[in-house]
Amino acid sequence: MLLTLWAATVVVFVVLELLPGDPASVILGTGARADTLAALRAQLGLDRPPLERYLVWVGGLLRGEFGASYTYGVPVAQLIAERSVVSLPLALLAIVLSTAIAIPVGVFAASRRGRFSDTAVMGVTQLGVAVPNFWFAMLLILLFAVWLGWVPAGGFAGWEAGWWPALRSLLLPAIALALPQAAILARLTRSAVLEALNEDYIRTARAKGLNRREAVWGHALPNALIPVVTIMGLQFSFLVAGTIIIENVFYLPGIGRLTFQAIAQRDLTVVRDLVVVIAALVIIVNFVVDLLYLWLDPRLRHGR
Amino acid sequence: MSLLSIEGLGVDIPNADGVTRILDGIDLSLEPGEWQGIVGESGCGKSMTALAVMGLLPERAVTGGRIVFAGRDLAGLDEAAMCRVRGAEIGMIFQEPMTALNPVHSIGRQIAEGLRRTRGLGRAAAEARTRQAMQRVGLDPARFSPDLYPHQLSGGQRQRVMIAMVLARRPRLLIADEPTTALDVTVQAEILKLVAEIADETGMALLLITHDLGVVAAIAETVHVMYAGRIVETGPTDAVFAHLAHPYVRGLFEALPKEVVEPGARGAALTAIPGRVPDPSERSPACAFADRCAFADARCRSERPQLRALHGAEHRAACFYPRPAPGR
Amino acid sequence: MVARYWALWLGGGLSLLLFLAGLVSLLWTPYPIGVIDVANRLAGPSAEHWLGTDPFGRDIVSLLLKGAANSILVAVVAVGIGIGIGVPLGASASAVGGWLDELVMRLSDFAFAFPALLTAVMITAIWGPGAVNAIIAIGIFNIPVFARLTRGAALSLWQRDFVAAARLAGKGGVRITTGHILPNLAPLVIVQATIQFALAILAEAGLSYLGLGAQPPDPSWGKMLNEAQTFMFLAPELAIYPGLCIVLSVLGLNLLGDGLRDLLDPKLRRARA
Repeated sequence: MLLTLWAATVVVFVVLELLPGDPASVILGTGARADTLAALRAQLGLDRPPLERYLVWVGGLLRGEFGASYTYGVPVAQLIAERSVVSLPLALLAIVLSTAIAIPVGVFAASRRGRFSDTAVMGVTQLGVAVPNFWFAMLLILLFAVWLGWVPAGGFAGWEAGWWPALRSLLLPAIALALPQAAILARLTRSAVLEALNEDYIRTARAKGLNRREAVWGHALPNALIPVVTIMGLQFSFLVAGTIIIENVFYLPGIGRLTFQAIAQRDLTVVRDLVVVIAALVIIVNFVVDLLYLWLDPRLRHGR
Repeated sequence: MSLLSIEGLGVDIPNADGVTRILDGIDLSLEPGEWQGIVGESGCGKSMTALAVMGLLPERAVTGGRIVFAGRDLAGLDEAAMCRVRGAEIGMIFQEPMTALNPVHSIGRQIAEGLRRTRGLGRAAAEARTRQAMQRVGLDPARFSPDLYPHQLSGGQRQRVMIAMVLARRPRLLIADEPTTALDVTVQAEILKLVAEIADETGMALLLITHDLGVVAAIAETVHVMYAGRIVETGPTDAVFAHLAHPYVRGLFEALPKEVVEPGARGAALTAIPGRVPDPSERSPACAFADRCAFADARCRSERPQLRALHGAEHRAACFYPRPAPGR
Repeated sequence: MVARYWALWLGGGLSLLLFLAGLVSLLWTPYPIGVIDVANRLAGPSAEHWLGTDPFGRDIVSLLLKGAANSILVAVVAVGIGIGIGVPLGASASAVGGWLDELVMRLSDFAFAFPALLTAVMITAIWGPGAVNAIIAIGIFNIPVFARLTRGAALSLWQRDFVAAARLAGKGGVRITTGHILPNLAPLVIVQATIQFALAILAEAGLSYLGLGAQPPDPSWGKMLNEAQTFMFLAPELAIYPGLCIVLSVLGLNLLGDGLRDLLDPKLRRARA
């Protein structure tokens, strides 16, 4: 895991190094004088060799010093903290929603294989997989904000306004994030459960007197969760990607929007650190998923 | 009253081209505590018979005939009632111990599963029974904890766990579908002995399904030989194996390597039965064995032989020309 | 026949529509794209403009058609990059084994773990927005998909008897790969390609929505959605049309992929009976 983290920093640095153009001119504008540009470059440390800059940066990261954003003029760490307050609850909400919907639906469809309810589920999820999440978001806005007026069409009320108003502004975004993911997850759960149902131990369970429901939920599902959890780990990176878009759709002041704005404004410091933080998050989540395997699959615990 | 009575059991499975008849008129009767064997090659339908009794056939299978267990017609039971019969009154162990256990549950959990609900046992009682069962099947508690997982056990040990699962429930009938086929030869004898001992101690009736003639000869009091979805010969094991009335049964014996049957007869050629077992969709409505049989004539090919008594009502063969009893 | 392969028919039909729309737009659209007609903006459906006009007065049908061409172009090239680099990479990894295999697997693990859109956003933002960079960004993320697929399938093929026979006949690694391994992989690659194609369309739409894909005046469905969002209260239907196009195209391609898989994979077919 650490190796991957380190590799991430290298990749980010290298990619940003390939940036054509001069960050100093971006900040000061094209009309700036040559000596001002040089001074700014010196101040930003841009005149030093790449390797040195890289080491200084990584050193700073490890110490928790993320440098300062030159667009906003505040420390990046502070920016990240402020925005996380929006994005983390959003992401959590989306994950909970998507899992809570997808897994039962998938199991249900598997247990009714071939019958109408299964076909219906497959049809709906087939549609769900094809829908871009930002379009779905817009449809949700149209329905719930424009037409019904139940929730705001965008923006974040802020936690200071009380937790329900804040949550309200996260509700639609979370649904928009969650449902397309849920479609994928539900299909996957269904096929994993179907595969598990084909196994011999299901027959043994039935022979013991367990009914179908018990066999599906008690025996098939725990086994099916193993491949499902793998995908959930991958889904986290899709979630991150989705957040960038969704936060833009809903004008939420979160990490995703910050990333996008920083990239658009060529705010290198912010971009570099943000990307590394996000990458770190993804890598950590994958690591957690690996740990989850150990809990789900006893065969892995004993090193076979 | 017999414990299990199968009358005219037929099983059809619909497929892309129509319907395939898997079982064609099976009759079988088992008394409490009796040990019977069903013998036949792969594809003859012996496992299907067992699954039919348990009500575990694939959903799309169509069943005809009657299966009466302890006076109740199993076909008339709804799923919930059938679940109560399974496990509690009829237990079944399967062929592949390597895959028959759930890899993510501990063995103790799998043995005790359902005990609390169906038998109304409290937690402590269920645990006690689990340990008891494990001990009885030879899984010494000092070495084998109920918290172990299946992958930590060998094939023979897993099969013992399966037996423990049945034992904990104390059913009246145990159906053992090829319980030793997938095991190493040395372990096979141990497991068979264990099954026999347990059946003996608990008074369970035993229906042993196998393709191994030796196993049947050792354990079953009555044997049914199946071919192509039908029973072709049935009767007391000793009598059937001594007489070898039906040509197929005779062929099975002659196909055994000679040293097994006659020690010292080395070098004798293996006698195979010519032809091959017909695919279920190709079975003849007349005698299913006719096209492989050296003694078949026009009647065999046009008319289906029913089971008819040879000497003594118990011993019956479905053949128009059964071999006369040896020594007569 | 139709019922059995309904996915193939429906999917194929929708995909065909997509391609036709794109092709047609190259030659003709009801109205030229570059022309702005502000007087006519946000008009509803009419005889002249079947689906109305956008905020700049451009004909929506024309925009949608050209958008189809854009999506197809991006997806085809991106998936092409993925196949063109990924398949040889995966095949070599399976053939050579050892360090190459390790390297390829590590790289693709890394690529899978990393949010694709994030990197795509970075690449397009830094190197400049535009269709070309979008293609590159999406293409890069197709490479590990095909590499993994090829490697996995090839590895199991290498074990098979016909490969051993070819070896005995004296054929070298490259010839076995091109002559035996790759042809057998073709069905898998084709099925995956249709799925990746669908994903590429979604990705391109996402990037365009963020302003990082095709630049004006070239239309793109994603960009149309972005523009529609500003006018959601005034003209909600503007948001519907491009989205519907995306959904139908992706749906069609997914169904096509499923149908092809059922058709080309005999093992699966038997299991369904």
